[in-house]
Amino acid sequence: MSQVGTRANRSTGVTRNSGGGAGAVAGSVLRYAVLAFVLLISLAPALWVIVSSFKTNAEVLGSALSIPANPSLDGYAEALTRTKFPLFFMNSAIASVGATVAAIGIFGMAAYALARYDFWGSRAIYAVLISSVFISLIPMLQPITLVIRTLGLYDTRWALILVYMVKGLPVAIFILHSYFKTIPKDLEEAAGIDGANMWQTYTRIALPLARPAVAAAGVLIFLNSWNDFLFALLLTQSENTRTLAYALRFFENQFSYDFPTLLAAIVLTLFPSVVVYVMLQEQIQKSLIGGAIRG
Amino acid sequence: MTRSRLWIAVFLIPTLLLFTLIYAIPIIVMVATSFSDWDGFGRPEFIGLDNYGNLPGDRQFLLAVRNSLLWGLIAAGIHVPFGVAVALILNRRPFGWRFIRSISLLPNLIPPAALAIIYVFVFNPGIGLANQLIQAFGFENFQANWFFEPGTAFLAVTIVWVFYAGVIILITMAELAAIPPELRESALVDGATERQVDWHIHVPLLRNVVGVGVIIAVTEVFKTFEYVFLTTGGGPGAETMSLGLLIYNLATVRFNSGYANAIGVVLLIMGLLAFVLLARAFRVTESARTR
Repeated sequence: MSQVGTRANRSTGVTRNSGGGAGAVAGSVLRYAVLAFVLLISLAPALWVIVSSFKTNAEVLGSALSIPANPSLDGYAEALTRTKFPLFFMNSAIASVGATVAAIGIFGMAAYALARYDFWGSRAIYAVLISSVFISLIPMLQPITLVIRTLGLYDTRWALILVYMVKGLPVAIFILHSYFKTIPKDLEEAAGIDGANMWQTYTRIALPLARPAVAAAGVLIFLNSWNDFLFALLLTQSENTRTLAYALRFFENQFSYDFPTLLAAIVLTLFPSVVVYVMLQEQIQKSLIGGAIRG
Repeated sequence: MTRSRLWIAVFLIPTLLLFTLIYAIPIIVMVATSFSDWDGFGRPEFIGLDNYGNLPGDRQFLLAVRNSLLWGLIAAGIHVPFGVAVALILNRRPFGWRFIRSISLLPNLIPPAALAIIYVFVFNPGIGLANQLIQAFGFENFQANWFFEPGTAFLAVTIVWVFYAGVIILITMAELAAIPPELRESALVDGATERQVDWHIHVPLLRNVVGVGVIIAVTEVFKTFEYVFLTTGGGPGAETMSLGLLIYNLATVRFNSGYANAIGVVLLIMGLLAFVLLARAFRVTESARTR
């Protein structure tokens, strides 16, 4: 730290008089321009789609920069009646909530065993499980499809749940393992003296104490699962298993040349993500910082 | 003793089973069948290194590798520096900084497929926002079919992700917040400008988090799928082909699974190499990663 301090002092000594004045004004103009650009690029495309979804087809075909003269909800009515939106939403919810709960449940147990007990091979097992963070599932997409087909799970929600769980494995093990390491053993040892077995100490003492880690890992697994497109494309086929993010692929054909409906369908698909973000913003940001090194 | 061993086994087995099934077995199958001629269903026929031998002559594969490397460079050279610059600006707490940080994260949290589809409309030559905006700014005769012309397709696919650095902004700001404020204050007392504080104090201390950000961003673009599958389909020709899309096409459309898995092995090695080399280049330490 002190080294950095002296280096900074030395360099400021040299250039002390170069700052300020016109340069400072130009600098702050540039800074606000960058921030304006961030807002614009982050919001404008989605806002334009939202505004356009209230137009008539003629208006969409007319000018991209116009405001809808008579904002109409026809696109939304069409999108909701002509697609199985509630079903796709439910499929997304079942697959991602299912994967999140199951991943926390199962990987939490493994993380706990590895954090609490030093047994032959425990470090090797931890290293192997964590190393999967460096290898994504995309190179193996063909063999994974084969395994799912062999298990007879092709085109089921189970296929998605299993794959989403494994996608979340390294982050869950990592976050939960390091959190369990920080919990003092005393409480659990006291419980052990009282005759509680490992399952009881885990579920009654360790897991409730690890709630922040569960939330951090859970949010990441949920978002990753909800946003998945590739594995839904690979492992599902029928409408009965179609998730919301994957359904996007079919809207273009279904509503070709009916732009308001198509755009409304896209807005409806975005809606749950935005609601979740607004509700869980703090937790999501914390999770992303904590799990910065994910798959 | 044996009782607790039994419990440990009970706690570990489900995880190990799942890991083996959806992770270990697929890796083994991928590597093993990459040396075979295989349609993905029948019996793989061992052909030695033929699949790998065919790679250097495969134009689609070469373009996919070129694109991955280019996107990797763009991620490391534009995406991450842009995010870090925005984080340094927001770190000075200008009006609305919290709001801007939140908004910047939004494109990273919606499904990538949705972002891709939104840009299909933005770049639509007939009704799209991009062309009409450019025309409104005085280039009245401007016309481009962004995703489908050789000159613009790569650029258009890149625009879909390159400025969405919300995660980089977020983790960099967290790192900046951990720098003791006395460093900045004493430098200011000594007459340094804010810019000098950023350059000479903050940026050097960000090495670790920038390293983590570059690793995340580069390994992420190696996995590009939705941004090409839903926009250009890898075209025109194979101009915007990604390795993921190529593997998908080979395995599911052309039933050339042995060859697809050979490319999978290449992609896996590229990801590992990028990780190792970047971690070393930025001297990313264990403590930073386990922070």
